[in-house]
Amino acid sequence: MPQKAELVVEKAPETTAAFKYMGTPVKVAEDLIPLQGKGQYLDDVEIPGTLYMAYTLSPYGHAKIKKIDTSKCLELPGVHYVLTGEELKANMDPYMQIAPPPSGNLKDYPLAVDKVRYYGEPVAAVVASNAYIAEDAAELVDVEYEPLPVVTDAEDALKEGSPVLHDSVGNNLVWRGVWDLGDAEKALKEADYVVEDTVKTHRYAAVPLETSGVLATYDQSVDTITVYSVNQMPMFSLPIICGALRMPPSKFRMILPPNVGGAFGGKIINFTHITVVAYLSKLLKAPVKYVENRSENIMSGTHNNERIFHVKLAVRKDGRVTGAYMKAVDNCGAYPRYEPAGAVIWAQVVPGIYDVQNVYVDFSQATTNKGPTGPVRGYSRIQHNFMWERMMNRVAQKLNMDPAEVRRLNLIKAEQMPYEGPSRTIYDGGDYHKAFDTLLDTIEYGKWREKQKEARKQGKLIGIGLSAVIDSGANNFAQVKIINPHFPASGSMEVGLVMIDQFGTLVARTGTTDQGQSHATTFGQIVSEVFNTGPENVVFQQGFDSISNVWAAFSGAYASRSAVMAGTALYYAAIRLKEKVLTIAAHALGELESDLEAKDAAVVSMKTDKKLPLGDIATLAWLDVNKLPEDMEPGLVSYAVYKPDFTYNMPDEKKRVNNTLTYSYAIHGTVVEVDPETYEMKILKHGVVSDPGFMINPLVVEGQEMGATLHGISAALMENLEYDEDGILLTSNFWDYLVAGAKHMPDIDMKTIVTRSTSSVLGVRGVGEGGGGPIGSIVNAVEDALQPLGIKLLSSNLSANELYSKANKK
Amino acid sequence: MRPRPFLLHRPNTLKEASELLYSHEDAKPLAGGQSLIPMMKLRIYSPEEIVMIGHLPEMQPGVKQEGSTIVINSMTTHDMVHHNELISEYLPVLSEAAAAIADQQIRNRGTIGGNIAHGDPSTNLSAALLALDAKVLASGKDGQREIPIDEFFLDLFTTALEPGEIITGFKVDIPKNSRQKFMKITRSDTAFPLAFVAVNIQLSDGVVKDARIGLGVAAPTPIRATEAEEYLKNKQLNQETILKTAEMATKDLEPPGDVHASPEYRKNLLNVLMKRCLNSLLEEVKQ
Repeated sequence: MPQKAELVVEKAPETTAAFKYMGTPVKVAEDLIPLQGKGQYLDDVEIPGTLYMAYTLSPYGHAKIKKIDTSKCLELPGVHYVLTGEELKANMDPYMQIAPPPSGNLKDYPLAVDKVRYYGEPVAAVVASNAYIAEDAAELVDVEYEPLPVVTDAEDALKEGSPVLHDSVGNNLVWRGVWDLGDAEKALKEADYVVEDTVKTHRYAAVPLETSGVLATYDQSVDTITVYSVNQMPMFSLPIICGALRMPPSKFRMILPPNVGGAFGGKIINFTHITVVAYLSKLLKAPVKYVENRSENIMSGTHNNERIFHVKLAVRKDGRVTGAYMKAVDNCGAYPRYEPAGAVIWAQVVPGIYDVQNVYVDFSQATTNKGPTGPVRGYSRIQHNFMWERMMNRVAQKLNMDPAEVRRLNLIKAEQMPYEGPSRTIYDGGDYHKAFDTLLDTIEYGKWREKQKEARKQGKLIGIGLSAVIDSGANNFAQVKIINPHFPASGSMEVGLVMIDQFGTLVARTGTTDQGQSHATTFGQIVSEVFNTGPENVVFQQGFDSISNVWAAFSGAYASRSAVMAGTALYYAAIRLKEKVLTIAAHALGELESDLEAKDAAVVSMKTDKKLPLGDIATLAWLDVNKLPEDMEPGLVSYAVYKPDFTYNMPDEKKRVNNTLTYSYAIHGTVVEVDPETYEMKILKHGVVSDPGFMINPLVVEGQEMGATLHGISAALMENLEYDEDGILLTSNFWDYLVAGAKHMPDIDMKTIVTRSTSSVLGVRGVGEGGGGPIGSIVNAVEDALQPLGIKLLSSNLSANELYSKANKK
Repeated sequence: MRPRPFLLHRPNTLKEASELLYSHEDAKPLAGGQSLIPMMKLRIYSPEEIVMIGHLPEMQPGVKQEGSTIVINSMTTHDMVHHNELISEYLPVLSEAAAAIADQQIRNRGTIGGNIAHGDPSTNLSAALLALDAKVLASGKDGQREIPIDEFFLDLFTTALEPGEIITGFKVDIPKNSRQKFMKITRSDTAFPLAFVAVNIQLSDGVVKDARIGLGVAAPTPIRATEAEEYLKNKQLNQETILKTAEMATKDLEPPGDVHASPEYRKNLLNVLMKRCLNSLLEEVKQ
């Protein structure tokens, strides 16, 4: 493939008016595919002779495995094999750990070895001729347990004398790091007030519509395992799997089906399933399939980081926050499988959305007898944003100020952009005040404050809550070096391939996989723009294949990176291809390249009006190749790997690094009414104003923001992974684990104000995770509503049951 | 999420179905599958044999008026109960209760017969049929019988149905001068409900002549608030009597607790719903 050593690319035009195809709300054609049941998901992939796997799960939160008797299970007709942790331990290495020793000594296998550490942990994997028999057989694996003392709270887990989960570590600390940025102690000393409180975020799950799944086949002729999975970052997960199975990555073919039914971060640590199924397919020399059932997905699919903060803010009497000093403890669950990355990811939003340069954070993460945590939409930043939004309300209460005013006073100003935070994050433009004021107008803030006064006189409980959050996107892997300087990754990259087929159709591929983000439409618009031709001439080929498709090691749809990273890579690849197309056309037409332009699936001469369709150029490039310019390589394929410059690319000794490329932001406002008898909470109004940067397709961006808003509402008012003191998960199916659907969605008043990102090539910002905006605005609104009752809230999840009990305790 | 193995019977007649259920102790009848299928998939409950009854002619969906009685066949779905004109006209509490069951897909499949036969205190229709003094039509190997709904629910998931008996339908006498209301509180349509109340009162010149109150998720079985019903008789419906009725209906309750509602909270909700039902009927009367 022709490669230029250096990319010389014109910056994307500054105004959206300069674009013809990008920036328009092109209807999302691929939405119809799943709606009509035509999607090809993992479970739709069928290979003759496939065997099915099911797990035997731990019924305990913490217990010693004394004995596993598989004899009854093996007697069941149709059962082919039972795999236990003991066998795996003898044939694989434990997964690599991100954290350095001593917690890096932790031994993690996909099946429990010696003991179980969380409710629902896989203990054995049974393979049978169909999925029904596999599930029946999994029940027949007889495991003798000896229950052990349980610890579910992260602060308890770090106390002397706590039950220890991993003996090879010696205690439950996964990692501890201190960020001492600016001078927070001095700020506290000089403050007029110190506002102090504890803030907790609760545990919930990603809950994609499609659960995780794996289908693996083994090809004996070339000793290669083909893995069909839904992993969000297949080539990043692959070394983890291959390292454990002691096989080179080239002996693995990683494939993702064309459709993945949502992920929200919950399809990264599913590499444990991939390992087991791949191992079994090679051992049994047969295709093996496993698809998580809903309870398995809820129990251990991926939980988000549960965190407690003890915070002191330094506050001037005018309401200006001058410093923040806090201790944070993160609950990792039983195994760090992407953790302790979450212990640094929060640092993408150190000061939140506010201009605070003195920040001290003492951050610890602990293992507990709960399910493993990992990325869940807004990974680790939701918690930090929520903390800021709760604390801003505390400041307002202390100073008897309007919470809107306190926020306005502390927001980073437009003239400070791009803003360098105390940890060297570079907030890439925006007008936070404009967005904030637009939100206040949108929800009619002043009017509701008046209504609230009236309502209170009548005994009604109405509250108004605000939340302003940063939604960072397109991560820099170097931030993980803060945890472990030997972590072998930094920066980021993504790949784009654009080609023209023999008939002249533009074909685009990237290494990211669509999980519902409308890649085909969005990326099609980028290629259309470069070639100045309608989307009907562009085909985006979806689905990942490490053999036949393009990839970079970081490829994937996670961290709100697809538009920023893959979009840019495709933009570059398309520009490179256009250069070649123009060269061929100039040669064929006998004109100067500078007189030619690409337009409507052809190259047109601005001088002579002569026109050469892309189909004719394709014939020259692919077939009639002796007519090409003498030294030109045949073919019409272009490939670009985009590696952004984060300015502060590597962390320094003070843990300062620019963690992500873009920082979008959103302001949420909620008006709630709490029923004074039943304590049910009803959203009367919810407004969002966000700045996603330049929108390649405004419809797609709006859909993402709506989804993130509903996810936040669901987190605040419904979803809660509740464990009892024995470590038993009480909410492991949809009877008890409540997820908001369209019916629970209030009318959302959504507005965007657009400022271009100062750091991304196309001016776009990553969006879709949303920063957990609604969680803060809802909790603040409910607490505001309950103010006449003097009820103080602690957690990010609310239930009427809990409010009733608080109201009746006094 | 797949059921354990089971043997599936598809009898041709109601009699055959009864005999199968009688002679196979562990067999369970399957109508719409609203409760049975999820329990089997979660492996909470695994009958070894299933007898399909939904196709039997005697059970087919249907609602008709016979003199002053409404007869509802067993396989009538919640969606049909919700939208049926006779039920909306004469038994609105039943229509409202059916409308508040889960989501549309479930209302399309779930049946009134299955809802009652399950013997679960959290099924909407049980409270409504208690309030309406319905009769359960049961067919067994020894023929048909009518069971008053008051005698039907014995314990959690335990009913008065004898081995081999199948519910074929329900009879409800059309109440005279009746005002009815169903109210429910749930965190999500498909979750276990927090509480619900069904009220049926006969009014004459603003005075309650008779009252029947069904309470949901209040005890191990669907129950009536008999003490409160007695109190309300011959009383004028007003704020004072409403408060007192709600108090009497709930004061001795010991409802179950779960992750979404403590027993105390659930008791409070039943009290609030009781008041709201009666208040809403009072408003109706005033108009």
